[in-house]
Amino acid sequence: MNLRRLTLVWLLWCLIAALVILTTPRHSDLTFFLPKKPNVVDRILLQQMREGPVSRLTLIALSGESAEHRAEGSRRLTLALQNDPLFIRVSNGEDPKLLEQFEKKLYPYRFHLVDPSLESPFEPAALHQSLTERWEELYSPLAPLSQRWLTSDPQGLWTHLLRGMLDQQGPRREGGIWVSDDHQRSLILVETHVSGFDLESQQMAQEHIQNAFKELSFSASLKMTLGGPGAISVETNKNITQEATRLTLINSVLVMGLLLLVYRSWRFLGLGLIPLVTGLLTGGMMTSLVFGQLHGITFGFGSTLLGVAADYPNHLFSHLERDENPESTMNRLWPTLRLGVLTNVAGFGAMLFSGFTGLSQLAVFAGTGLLAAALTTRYILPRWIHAPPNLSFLNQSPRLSLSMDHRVRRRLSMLPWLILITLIGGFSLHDGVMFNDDIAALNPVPPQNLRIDATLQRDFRSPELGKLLLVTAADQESLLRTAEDLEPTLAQLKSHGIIDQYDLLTEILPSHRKQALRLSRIPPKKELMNLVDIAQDGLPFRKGLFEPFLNDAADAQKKGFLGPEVWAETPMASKIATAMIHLEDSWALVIPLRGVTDDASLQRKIDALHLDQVQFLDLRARTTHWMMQYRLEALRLLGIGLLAITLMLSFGLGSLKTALKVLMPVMSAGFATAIMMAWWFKGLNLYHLVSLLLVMGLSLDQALFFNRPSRDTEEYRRTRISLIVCSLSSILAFGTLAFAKVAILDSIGLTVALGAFLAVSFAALMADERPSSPSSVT
Amino acid sequence: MTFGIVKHLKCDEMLRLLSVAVTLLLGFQGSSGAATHTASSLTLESLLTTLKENPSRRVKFHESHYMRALTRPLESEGELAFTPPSTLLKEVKSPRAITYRVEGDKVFIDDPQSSLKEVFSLSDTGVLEAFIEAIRAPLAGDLLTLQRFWEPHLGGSFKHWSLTLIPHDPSVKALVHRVTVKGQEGQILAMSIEEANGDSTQLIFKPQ
Repeated sequence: MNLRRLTLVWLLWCLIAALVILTTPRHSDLTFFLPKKPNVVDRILLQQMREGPVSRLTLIALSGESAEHRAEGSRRLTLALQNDPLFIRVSNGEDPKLLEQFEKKLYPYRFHLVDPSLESPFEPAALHQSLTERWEELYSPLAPLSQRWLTSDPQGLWTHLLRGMLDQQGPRREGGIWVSDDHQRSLILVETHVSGFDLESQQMAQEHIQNAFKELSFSASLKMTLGGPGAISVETNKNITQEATRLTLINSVLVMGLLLLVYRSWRFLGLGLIPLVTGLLTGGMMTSLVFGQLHGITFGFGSTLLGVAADYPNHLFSHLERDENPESTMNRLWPTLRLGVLTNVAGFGAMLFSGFTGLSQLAVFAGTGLLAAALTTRYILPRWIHAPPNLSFLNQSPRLSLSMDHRVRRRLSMLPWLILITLIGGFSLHDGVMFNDDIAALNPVPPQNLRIDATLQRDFRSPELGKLLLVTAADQESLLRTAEDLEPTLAQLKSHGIIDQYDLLTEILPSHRKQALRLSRIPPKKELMNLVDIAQDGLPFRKGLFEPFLNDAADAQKKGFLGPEVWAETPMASKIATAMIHLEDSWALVIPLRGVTDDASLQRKIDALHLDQVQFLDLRARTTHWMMQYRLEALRLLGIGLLAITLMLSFGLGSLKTALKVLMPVMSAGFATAIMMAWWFKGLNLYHLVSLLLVMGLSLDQALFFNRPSRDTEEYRRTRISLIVCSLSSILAFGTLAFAKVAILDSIGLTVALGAFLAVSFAALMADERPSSPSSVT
Repeated sequence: MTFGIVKHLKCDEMLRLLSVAVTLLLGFQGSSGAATHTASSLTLESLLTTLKENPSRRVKFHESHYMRALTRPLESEGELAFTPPSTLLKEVKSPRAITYRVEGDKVFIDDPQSSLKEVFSLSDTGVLEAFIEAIRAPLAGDLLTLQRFWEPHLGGSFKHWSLTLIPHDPSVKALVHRVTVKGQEGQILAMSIEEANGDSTQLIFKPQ
């Protein structure tokens, strides 16, 4: 193929890859961490986290200025946002129409919804007691409300239902609107149509809020703070992007400076990027094609792993000689480079068969990316080179370690082992924790944002999605029946202080069985009239006053059952939608529990019911479990990968002994880095593991070159230079990231920088001390 | 989800409370009550002046609330107290203790029995705005403002007078037909509030 055609093919390839990546749906949620075939429980948990009631809320707090100004700001902002179709609900606590709305829709269903507090509510004695209560209520400050429903609801069912809804804690109020507990902030709750994890829509929602706030042009001292998952993820995304951009700018300058210093050529600087870019595009395209989607985390981690490919052109460039065709140089290097790439790919290959989507995606991304980068380096790069770079260090560089005393070198080669043993000893003596499986450790949200959000969540008294009971059933009716059957147990647990609160959907959506039972107890109209007459005796209610009650009771029996549709357009609709989940062939109900003090007793109680379809779940424990499974899987696959690498190396290098010689520095550097990072970060998380994979990849490559027989001192020196350049650029690039304020960036940065340093040092210390043809040593 | 249930009281209970407030403020207003008015002719001006000069800061009350739904009235007793410039306290003592306090435009309710404690601002409740003005006007000794919100009808003699106030504002009118205050010289003795729905409240005052 001539050069022009080759260039064209390459360009076309990159263009197609970019197109494929751009048109593939991007995901950025926890699906990355889930098994390919998640079970029902995991699916529900994921759904709850993604679309649960909490995830769609944005919390607004107004602070500064006087209480009056904050209240006015709260009202005006609420009004402005209420007119925005982007939001389902905007409330500052003032909702004068809410009571009317409830009354209009649900008052006729009060007989379906509420159990009268008494055993046999339609007996004269019970009715008399109800009426006496109503009479006493007329003296209370809430008399006007009782009066409003006196004649049609003498049993007080409606006020009971309202009170039940009132009891669900909301924020504190001042002058009718929500304020924080310290009265310093006024609060507004915004519910968006979209999940808090849909970053783009959340970004838009927040811009709408910011713009509305700006347009109202309040005094400058009135400040607005946003909280909730959406706001936090938008803010975090912004922070990470800013931080990453800033640091990437710095490290690009540093790495470019280094490469310019070495090659003294802009051309080589540009050429050096080509394999990496091709690898990224190819990896992205292949992952998109194989999985039909590209997860954000795959892209991020995959790009990190492809860092190995940045070394490939360096190997080529530093070995180029004036009197040699670049393609011949490449041919000379190719066996070593090929072995490095293939072993790396073999290592990732094991992950391909993982039961977790994320790991398989990562394997495809990094594997195909590395192959593409290597092939670009092999077949395209040499042809674009006209003349070798003028390597600045080659001639005036010190003799490196060549002249070092033989015995000193031998002793130094023991140093890696010494370091490793010291580390292992110290780590186990101090009871170091090797792994941290808490999903919170992966949370890229900066601590100060988490604090602001936690304060807002507290102000709003948001339900924490921590522990819950999960009920599953074939249909809605059995689901609700099971939930109702749970009620006595839950009440008992509450009275024993094992749980503080539970939120049972059947309070507002009873099963048909329960509704039918309630309706069946209402006596026929004539009979009820007589009963009321008797009950009225001795009380100052006018005769015939309760006619509306008699009519409504008779009508209730004719009404159909109350279903979720009756609650439509009320704030309860979203609550129903999130608590009751329709799965493909079954239904699930979430019963959030608050203030669980004793998990074991709760579990025992639930087990004692012998209901297969009820499970107690601790979300945090569950996600930690996911993480652990994930990590175990990753380690297991790493083991298999290592085995594959060893086999491939033995085959490629001709003997197991040589393979081990190459692997020793890789393994010891990886292990030493792992221990130091586990100690520094109090346990390794997934970010560290991915970074360690990169470290191993880098060091494997380097160890191969270190152990590559050189034909003369010149080549030996060139190899050293290329390795130093590679390590230095890795250390510079990732070392900069170590200064990031965002947890994810500094974890990756520090691990790779340290790993790269140890890898090159260990490889140098443990490698053969002299070129294979010692005759030419000067 | 919650909603401020007290907001729904604005329509009649608060109005009743405030009717008492507006009337009593007429009498409670002013602090130096040295001179005794001996005018023989009864005019609104002279009555207000007399009431100002006879401040009784704490009175006992007996309230009878007549409701169409009931065959006998709801009876309650307690004390009303005024602290200048604008704090009115209504302490119901029987049959159950409830405290209402109007302070500036804030209303505090404390019902220990149902552990209800609420505060809300009068200016939030649209209908009552006219009423607040009606309280403030006499406080400021502003007969004109009083007349802007109420149509006063004065009857009887200075010895036994009767002042009937009929609201101008349609939103107030939809709730209250009239407020009648009866007194003897500088002393308010009784008051009745007739609600638009046919219910009515009678208050009898006894100075301490």
